[in-house]
Amino acid sequence: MTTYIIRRLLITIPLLIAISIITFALMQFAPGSPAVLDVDPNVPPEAREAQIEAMGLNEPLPVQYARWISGVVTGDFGNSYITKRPVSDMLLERLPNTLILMTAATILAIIIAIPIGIISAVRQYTKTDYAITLVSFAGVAVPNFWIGLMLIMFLSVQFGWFPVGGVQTLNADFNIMDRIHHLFLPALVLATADTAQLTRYTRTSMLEVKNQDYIRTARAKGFKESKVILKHGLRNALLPLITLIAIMLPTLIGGSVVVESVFSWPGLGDLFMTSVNQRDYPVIMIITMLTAVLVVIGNLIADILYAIVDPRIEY
Amino acid sequence: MVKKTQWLFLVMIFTMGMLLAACGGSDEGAETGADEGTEPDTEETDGEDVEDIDDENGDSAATGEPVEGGEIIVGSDAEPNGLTPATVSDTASRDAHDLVHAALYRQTVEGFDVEPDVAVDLPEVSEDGLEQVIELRDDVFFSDGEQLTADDVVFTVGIYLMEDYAGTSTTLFERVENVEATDEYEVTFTMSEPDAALTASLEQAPIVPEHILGDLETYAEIEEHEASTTDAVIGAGPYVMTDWTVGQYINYEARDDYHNEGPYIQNITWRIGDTDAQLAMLQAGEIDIMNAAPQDVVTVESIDGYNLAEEPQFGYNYIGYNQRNELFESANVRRALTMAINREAIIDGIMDGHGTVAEFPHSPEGPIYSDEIESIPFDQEGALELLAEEGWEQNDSGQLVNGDGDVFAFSLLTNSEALVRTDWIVAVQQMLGEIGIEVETETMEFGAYLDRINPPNWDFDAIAGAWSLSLDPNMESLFHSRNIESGQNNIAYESEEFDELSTDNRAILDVDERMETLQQAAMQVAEDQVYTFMYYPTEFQAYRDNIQNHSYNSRAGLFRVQEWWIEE
Repeated sequence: MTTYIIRRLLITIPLLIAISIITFALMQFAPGSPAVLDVDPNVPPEAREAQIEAMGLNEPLPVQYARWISGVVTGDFGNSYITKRPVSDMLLERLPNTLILMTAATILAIIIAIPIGIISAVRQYTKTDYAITLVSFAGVAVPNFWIGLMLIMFLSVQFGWFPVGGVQTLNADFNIMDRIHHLFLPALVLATADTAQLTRYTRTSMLEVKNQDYIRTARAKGFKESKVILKHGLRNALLPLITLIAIMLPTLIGGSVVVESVFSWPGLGDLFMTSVNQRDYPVIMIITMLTAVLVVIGNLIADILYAIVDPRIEY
Repeated sequence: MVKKTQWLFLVMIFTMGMLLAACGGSDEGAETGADEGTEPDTEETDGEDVEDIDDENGDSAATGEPVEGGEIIVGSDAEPNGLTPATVSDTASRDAHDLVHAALYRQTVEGFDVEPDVAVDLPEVSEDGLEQVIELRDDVFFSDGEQLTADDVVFTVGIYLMEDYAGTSTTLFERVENVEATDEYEVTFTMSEPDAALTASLEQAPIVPEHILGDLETYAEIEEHEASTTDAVIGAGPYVMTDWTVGQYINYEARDDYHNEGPYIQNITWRIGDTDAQLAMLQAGEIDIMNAAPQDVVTVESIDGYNLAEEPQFGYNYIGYNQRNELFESANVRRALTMAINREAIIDGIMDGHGTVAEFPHSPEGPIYSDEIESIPFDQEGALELLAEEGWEQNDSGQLVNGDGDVFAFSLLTNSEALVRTDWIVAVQQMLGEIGIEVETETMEFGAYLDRINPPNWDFDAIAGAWSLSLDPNMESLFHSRNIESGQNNIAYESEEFDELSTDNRAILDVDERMETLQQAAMQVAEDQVYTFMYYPTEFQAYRDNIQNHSYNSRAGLFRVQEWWIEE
């Protein structure tokens, strides 16, 4: 087991290096240079060259890459081209918000998806099942920015039940209920796609379990149906789902870019959008790297959980 | 299976990053394409009259007495990129500067002129124009209590002149040879050449405190200092920044010891959110004021409790013809193209009427506009006649061809972020198609677009673009022949008349004489139809109806907010 984990960890190293090279290269190949945008074309060429030199953009690409990656490895992410602040500061002030949002979305997805998935499985081929199936496919298919805008439109603007955006009431002191009030809609929207998927997986997993011999045995013993399903069935059905939750991470990160913009949620996704619009390459590259690292970690956790949960997997 | 999806996702993230980065272009660029211009005469989206369309406002302003107190929440889609004015030029930053900083001169409420702010009066200019002396008020204090003196002004202007200066306003003080404090409240500018635009330049250079930033040795250090990047900023403006929580809001508080009228409103909060979110906040009553996009005007008008102010933008949209291309060499051809384009129809059909036809390379509200300017009618017959004089005739299939049988065909390029322009270039394509001209439309991401149209590439036939104007109406950088090779005259317009008129207009110290010269130069540009001047777009600001003495001006987010007040 330990050797497996170590081996998996070692494999991630070249993977991350490859990712960093691709990230860096893509930024280089994107049309237009940050220096061109930052300085107006009327500026004497010498001044522009000075700027390019100050940004270190005139050096050969491998040198630029080496400088960048050695900074990243040692935790020095450089300064933003636009705000001139250290990128690490910009990330740190936003990371908590994104983590809160993602955690809340995950919890919401689990709370909603698992019971619904069970119901769907238990009542297989009934109207309830079809309705749930329909809704979950819709949940996967409908883009979440649209859901977000609709919810804002109706729940916030029309009925005034929820705030339109932000993490808390402006200029209010910290208040946990207020925070949750602000958190609910964005978390719900971010959770939509995952909820829908998780519902489908729960249903499938539950159906598989439902027909197992030990369920029949439990029933034969005269247990109540609810106990049969929840205790004997669910426990076994949940095992494969644990890994799924780790794999939800990527969609959460991707979704947060959109959801945070729609709900003015000051997190990493929002920062990513802003930076992209301003061509703030140092920030874009770090966020892309961070995302890649998170995805790799999510992958790793999933694999390890698989291994723990299902002893039949060999290393 | 699992791994596959994750790889797919990684690929998606990269692609997305690249695509998004590619379609970046700053917001400003998206709206005006004006990022190209930071030369004084074509600078930032600036300047507007202050009259309110809304009559309610006019009434209340006339009857009410200023009341101190209250707060307003402003919706904004961007945060400042920096708080030291020399280092940045984006809209959100300038809006913040307007609140926390004061400059020697400021824009007048009535129009596009400057009036003294921290200065006592306009500069005293020596006979040869090479020395300008400005006296400062002795009752101006920074928000930390330190007095503003000549040293601060010298330091501020000095930033622009630093050897390693890497900001955008390189041409603002290019004629300043030396600036020194000749008294505690007196600054003397020694010029290399006379400069009539100095006050307009100073208007764009709010004064930063020497006692905070003065010890820093390099430009980079100034840029990165906490007073340039955080709520530790110190300035002499009407408000002080009390709290900037990145990504969420910025709080400002009124200063008691501000040196001019106001401020009356005690607290101002900038709330950050994208435009859709702002609109929803406005509908939910969560914000008091926001700039509304033309397409949102109908929505905003339907919300109770808000007024809508509208003003023409101090700038224009145009089609520029690359005169390196022999198709466009003749002024007659360019005029014919303008005649063949129904600009009214474009404004009405594509922009909901939110604009006015432009005929002149400057704003009707600016100081050099001339009523005598001839308006070019929509007249496709006339266009064909003009083109016939130049040897272009329609053939049997309706194509416009010359003697050699070449078809009149060109491509019209714009940047993809400019959503309105991407729409109307198609209309132009159709209109010119009606007289047999084949237009191919092309849209590109802003950065790539700039790469193509700027020196040394000039890889375009015609472009649809926009300029925002600054207070000083100098147009040399756009149309003077010496700016063809490396400047913003990327369409290669060359006119002896224009060159003669505009050359060194900054050295004409008599204001009337200078404006008259510039007006003639501008008339020459209009006469030659260097561009097809398309229209002046209209801009909108929605504000809660209890805000009194509101004034709107696209040069500022909250124009003269220190003189507004709230009536309960």
